[in-house]
Amino acid sequence: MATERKNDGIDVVPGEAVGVIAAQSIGEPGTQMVLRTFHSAGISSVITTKGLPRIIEIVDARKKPKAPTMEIALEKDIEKKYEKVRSVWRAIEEVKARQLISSFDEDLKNSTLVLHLDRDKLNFYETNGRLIASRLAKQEGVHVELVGPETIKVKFKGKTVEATRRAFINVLGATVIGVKGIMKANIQQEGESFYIATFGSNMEEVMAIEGVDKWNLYSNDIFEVMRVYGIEAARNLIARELATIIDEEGFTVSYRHLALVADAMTYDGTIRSVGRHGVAGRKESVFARAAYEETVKHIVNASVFGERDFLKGVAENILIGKQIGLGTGNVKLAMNKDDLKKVKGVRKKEEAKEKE
Amino acid sequence: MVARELIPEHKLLSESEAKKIAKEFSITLDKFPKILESDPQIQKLGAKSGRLIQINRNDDGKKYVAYRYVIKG
Repeated sequence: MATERKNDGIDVVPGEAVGVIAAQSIGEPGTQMVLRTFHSAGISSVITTKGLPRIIEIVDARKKPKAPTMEIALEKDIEKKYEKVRSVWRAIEEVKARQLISSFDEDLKNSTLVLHLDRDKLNFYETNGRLIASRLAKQEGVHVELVGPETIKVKFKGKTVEATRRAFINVLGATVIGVKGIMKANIQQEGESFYIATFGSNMEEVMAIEGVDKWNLYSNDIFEVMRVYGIEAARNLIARELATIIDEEGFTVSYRHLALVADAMTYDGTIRSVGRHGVAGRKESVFARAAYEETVKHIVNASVFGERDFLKGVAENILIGKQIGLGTGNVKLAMNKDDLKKVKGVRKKEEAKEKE
Repeated sequence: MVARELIPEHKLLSESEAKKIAKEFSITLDKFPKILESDPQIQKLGAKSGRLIQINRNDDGKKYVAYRYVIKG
């Protein structure tokens, strides 16, 4: 039979309420998870959000995670050579102008800022005054001049003292080495090869660095992964991040529940949160939306715009007291009209009609 | 490091293949999950809106095929 064929090799019976099962399967261990995040002191210098707060962060689709981290893989020919890995690392960890100076003189009257660079620090970061001056020159509206080997003069033509002051603060906070937003980077070893683990995430700029394996970057910033690798990568990341967190807490949840959540969140090609502003708030049915949150808003809008409800979902049918379309309620009978003609009684009636 | 596995293989289907698959699921193409034209993987394939993309997924070791419909955006 056709139904039998359709059921072959399917793990879930048609009509099963997979969404409800997924919600319960994630929700139950969720009640037992710790609400507070603990900082694990010791070996790992990278702090990450764990447990329930991180799950909420993913499911709510926050634009920026509280603790963004990256794992940067390196190209095959350099990943085993520590010295070369180190030079890549130098190009990644962010150093601000403020961190390289011993002192600075600010002259607001003449709109100049003189930076005295620290030679020891320059040597430590293997850079020099000229390189730093060229990076600073990228700041908007400033004129940068290298007056001595370790002295940089910055001029700004601001209309007000406040504008000048603000520009100087920006100069001091400007990224002179590395990638903006990568607060910390560590070289980690896995087997024989090295990779770089960071605190802070900026995939777009890290990808441009030489020696980095562009298509092998891991970031826990879901929106960034969506921008750089696409929606399917974001879907996989959502499911995988959820799986790792739940696993770390010592619970076991089948991967398909998490994949279902990820599928629902990325259904329309962008990332939507689960809840009022996302998945639940975008349901087709007026009654389903009204039954969830902000009842009056949805009913008023529906009446103003003349929306229609086809009463196909669960919430609508419970509201009007009909059987829901799940499980056995999902099955409907259909009749083949051509077969109907073969039945004697019907044929006679139709013949009578034709005579008329 | 598992980052590379995050990006599944995307394959652009011909319009006749797309029709066949839609018929198999007995739905219209626009009922499939969506993918934006501006998506990096779609840019790579150079697909325009209205086409169907086959995605060879690997969920925790389980391999299967999924589809997404390209829309404007």
